[in-house]
Amino acid sequence: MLHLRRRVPKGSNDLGGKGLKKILTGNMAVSYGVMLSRVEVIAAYPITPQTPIVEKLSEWIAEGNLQAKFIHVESEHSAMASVAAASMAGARTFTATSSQGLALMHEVLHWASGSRLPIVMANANRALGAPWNLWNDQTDSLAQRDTGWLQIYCETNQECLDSVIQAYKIAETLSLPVMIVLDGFFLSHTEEPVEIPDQELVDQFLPRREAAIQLDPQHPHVFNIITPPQAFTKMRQDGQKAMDMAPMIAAEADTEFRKIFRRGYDLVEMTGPENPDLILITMGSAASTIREVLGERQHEETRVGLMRIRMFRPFPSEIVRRILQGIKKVAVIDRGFAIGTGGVLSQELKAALFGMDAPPSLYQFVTGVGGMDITPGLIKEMINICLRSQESSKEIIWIGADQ
Amino acid sequence: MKIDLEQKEFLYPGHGFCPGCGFTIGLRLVLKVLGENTVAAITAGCLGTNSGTFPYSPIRIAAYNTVFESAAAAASGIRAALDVRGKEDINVLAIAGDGGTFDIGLQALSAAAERNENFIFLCYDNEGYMNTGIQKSSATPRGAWTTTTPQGMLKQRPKKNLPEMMALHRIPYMATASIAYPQDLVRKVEKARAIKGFRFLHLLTSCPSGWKFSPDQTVKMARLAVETRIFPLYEVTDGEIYELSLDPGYHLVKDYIRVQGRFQYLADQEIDEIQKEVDRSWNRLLEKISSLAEKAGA
Amino acid sequence: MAANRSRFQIPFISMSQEGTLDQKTGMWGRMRPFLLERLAPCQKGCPAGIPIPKALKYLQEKEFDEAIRCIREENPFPGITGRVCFHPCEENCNRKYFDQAVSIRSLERFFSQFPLPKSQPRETNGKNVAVIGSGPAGLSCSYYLALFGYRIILLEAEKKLGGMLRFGIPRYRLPGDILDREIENLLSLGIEPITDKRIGKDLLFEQVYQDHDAVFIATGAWNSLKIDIPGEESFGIVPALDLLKEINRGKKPILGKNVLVIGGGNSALDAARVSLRMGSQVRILYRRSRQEMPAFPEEVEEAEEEGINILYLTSPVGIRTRDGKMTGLECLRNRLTEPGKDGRAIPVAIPNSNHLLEADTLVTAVGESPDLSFLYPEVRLKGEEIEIGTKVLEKVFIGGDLLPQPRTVIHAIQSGKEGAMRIDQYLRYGKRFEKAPWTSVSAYQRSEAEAQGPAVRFEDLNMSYFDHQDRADQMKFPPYRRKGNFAEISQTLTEGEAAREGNRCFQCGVCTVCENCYIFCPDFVVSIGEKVTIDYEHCKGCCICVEECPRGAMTSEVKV
Repeated sequence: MLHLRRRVPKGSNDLGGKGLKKILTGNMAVSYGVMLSRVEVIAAYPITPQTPIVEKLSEWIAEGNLQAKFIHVESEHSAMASVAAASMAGARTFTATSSQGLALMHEVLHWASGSRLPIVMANANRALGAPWNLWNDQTDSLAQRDTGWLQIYCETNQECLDSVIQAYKIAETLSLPVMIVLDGFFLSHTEEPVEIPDQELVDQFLPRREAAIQLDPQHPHVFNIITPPQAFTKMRQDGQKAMDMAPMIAAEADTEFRKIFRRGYDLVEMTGPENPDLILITMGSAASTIREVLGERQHEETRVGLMRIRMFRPFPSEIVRRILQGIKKVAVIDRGFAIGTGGVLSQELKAALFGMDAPPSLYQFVTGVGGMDITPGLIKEMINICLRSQESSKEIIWIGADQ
Repeated sequence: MKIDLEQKEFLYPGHGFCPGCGFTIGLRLVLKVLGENTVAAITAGCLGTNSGTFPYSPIRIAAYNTVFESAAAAASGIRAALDVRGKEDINVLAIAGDGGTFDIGLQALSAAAERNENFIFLCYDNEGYMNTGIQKSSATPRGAWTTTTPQGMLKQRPKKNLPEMMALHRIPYMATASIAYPQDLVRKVEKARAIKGFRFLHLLTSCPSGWKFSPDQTVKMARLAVETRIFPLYEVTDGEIYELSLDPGYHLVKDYIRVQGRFQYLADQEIDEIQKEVDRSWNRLLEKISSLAEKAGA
Repeated sequence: MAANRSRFQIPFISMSQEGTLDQKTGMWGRMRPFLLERLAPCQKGCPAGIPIPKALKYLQEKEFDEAIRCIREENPFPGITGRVCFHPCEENCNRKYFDQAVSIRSLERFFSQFPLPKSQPRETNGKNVAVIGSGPAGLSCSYYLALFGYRIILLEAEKKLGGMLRFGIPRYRLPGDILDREIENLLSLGIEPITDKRIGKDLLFEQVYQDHDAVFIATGAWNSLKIDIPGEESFGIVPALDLLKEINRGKKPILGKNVLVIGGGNSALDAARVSLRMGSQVRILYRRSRQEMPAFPEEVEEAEEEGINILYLTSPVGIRTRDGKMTGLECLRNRLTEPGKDGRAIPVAIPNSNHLLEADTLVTAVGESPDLSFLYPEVRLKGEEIEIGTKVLEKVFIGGDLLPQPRTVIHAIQSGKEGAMRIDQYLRYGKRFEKAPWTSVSAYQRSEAEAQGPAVRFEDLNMSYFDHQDRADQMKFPPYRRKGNFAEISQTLTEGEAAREGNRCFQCGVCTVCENCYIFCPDFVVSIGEKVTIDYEHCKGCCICVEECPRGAMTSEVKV
């Protein structure tokens, strides 16, 4: 896994602010994000590769650096159930998990979004068994795309830290839960320089949560009672309306974040030359490797660009269509695959492009699953396949595994 | 009997529980003791379904429906959220049926008990999945008919002894109660309310629909269960100190079994076996009480 | 942006807004439970309808004055009945199915010792009534008529008031001073007793009839029946009633040393035990077996304790005499056969079972009949009326042992009460009722409907709310203490004993506001205000309240 990653941030090279700079793993960065957000209730269960997140948080709580309650639950299902109930009672809550744990929480993820609870969860991607596989694979979070959670995929450890803070702002505005997704091992366990924002500035950006509705003996209500079809549908509609506003709210939050912290993140990040012949679309840390490759072939005749999708859910269809207007070829590099569904990102993209007058040719690559490393070589291979062929692939193009 | 109770009601009439439901009798008393400064976590089952149909609810305290398995987990979360904001005086109550306690909820329950979470877990035990139409749970007693243990395939295994399991967690307080002994129930809830840590209340709530008897007999059935020693009333403090709440004398289990339709397929011989088992369990409990008392005395 | 943002502050989620009172779950059920206080079997079984549960409730609350007051509303002589009544209340008491019946008679005796506020003479309404005979029926009728406002003349042939109470019941059962005290309570109402005046000798009935607006005749049954065996005219044969009268008058009757008493009723037992106390050796002869004896069982037991032998299934056939004095009684043994018209087995003599019983006195107690010859020559008793020829004497009402009813003190007292009500109806409205319009005088005075329907049965009660407790019995003196004297053989209960015994009363059919219905209602629709009320809009008709009512005061009906 030795490859260089280099951020090419929009706007400024400066890491900004008065924050302390440290060399942190992605997990540590998440932990810092949680601590700075003054999270109040944490419930978590250990699972590779997210465990260090909660280990660190426990340490800080013990030291008194974080005034939070830590519930040592006995399964991820209970972790989400506890955190949802705590959120209903008005606290700011957090949990972290991966793969099997995330899958185990599935029913409670629906429960949390249906209850409109602003929970933030970090998911360190890992393949879903069977068979056992400990390494990076985005299928776990992608498989939860219908649960009503926002999903934000991070490329760097800095982004992980910052996204946690932004996530609370977004979640508490929309009353929807947010999942921060980081590649297992590639981000979670790899160290990078990260600036830790100043607590005062974070407090400015993110005040204490004051829930409009919560469990309160002074104003007693019973939550989640049986709801007849009409009302139920209206509640789903209300949730959808909130989700529809998510891109706007996220952009606003980012704007405010930039003002204070001098850096920020677009929902869809574009890199590369103008009018590219081919755009590679991906999520997560693979974007950094692609940047390297693009950097190397800057002066070649064929122009290739990179679209990194940061907010996967709600899928930024409008932005993507706008950007891909007039583009001839598009290659989706999927790190999440489900038998029968195919590459999940490409499926979402196809849905987003539906109805476009002249949609680009689409190449669906599946690679990097089960921990497979997406090397510069593989990327070049994918670029060549796209540039050489004339029409889009009807089938999945498997890259990396010996056929 | 007159019991010194809060006049205010915390449940409304017009609810959807069956006529003659034993649970509502018990829940009402529990809520009267705990009062309005209470937040409850409730799960699927008779209470979950009857906690209301939007926008109506018969429950007058703050409560949160959570997924089936997670009564104890949700209550833990609520406790943490209230405590972190300094609201430590609010009572937190998890309410689950025998399904949500003995079966699907057992994992979260055991974990919360092990952590000594500071709330009261109330299990209302009607000995089956009654809300979904009378299916067998691990709280169903031997020989009872249910839709999943019909005639010819009656449940052979005895009821899981959850009170003892909970006592073994060494929680500060475990108590069994029956709706036919309201003064005893009220006393135990008052006692529990004053204790910090994990408190488990196992309440036998007779069920006319599931046990197949006429709805006016509900209290009588809950009384017979105690009188025949099938459901002993006792308390365990800190996993160590056992106290028997009532010695009901000797009544044959036959008097309990033969008046419930769910036991109609039991032959006399099986009833004899059940009687022997009840006698054995009772004696074991008494031995435990006396031997622990000796140790305490020594 | 800000405007849009505010739309998200409150998400639309499933949270309750209202309660469920609009859900009228009262429509679910078929049954409708309700409070219905009913008669307790003790009260229903009492010929005078004494409100026993009410009195015992007052006892439970230590309000002795109220207790005695409500008893006396229906029975002016609790001190008497508390000693001599055959207590049908106790026979009907539901407690006997749980452990033992409540000692109601002993409690009545306990209450009777509390002093009452002196009754004041009432204002009279101008009408006068003559009461002939001052036994329990006459005394009772006078009492109630005086309360109703009538002027009463009470005529008594003997020198003292009381009738059978004074002259028929031995002193060890009913002491003279107690009787005097009870009668005194009554006389203070302003009744004028005229004693030692016999109608037909000192007064003419016609005169009495003319001078009064109504006449109540309760002269009792004092004619002893004969046993119809040869030698009955010999010396040493005496009717039981005559013996009792003499002794109660303070005279010394002629009584031998070896006495035989024939009969199985209370008079026979009384006569036997009185003879014993006079120093004779006594045996009782009865032609049937013990089961058929009409005497109160406890009388029989006490007689046996005192050493009186009872010879069952024995009938007399002849009297042996020497010099005109009795020396013995020839008897036959009987066996029992089929029951007769009255339901009792018919005794049939066993041939050749003759045997001789040595005795010098024979006391006969085989029944009494009334004698109305003092009225007119051709007077006839027809049911509850008196006829001369075919004419019914309109102004005349009768009571006590003249009526075809059991001959007990309480029946007599009730007949006096009913006579008073009938006379009141007659004098007020000119109506002559064959049967009194009410059993209870307090209901009569308030024109209240009396409780209908069956009394509370044991099955209607719920024993889960009662603990076993042994019945308190009065302390009875052992036989050697009773020998040779006429003192009462038992002592009144102490206050502590009475209080504890009163607590044993279930209060059948009475709502004591125990709140069981309130606690056990799964629909929370029972409210306890002054009475128990149910919110039928939400009552699902499970009827747990009916089942758990310890006293059977809740009942249910099918909804129409």
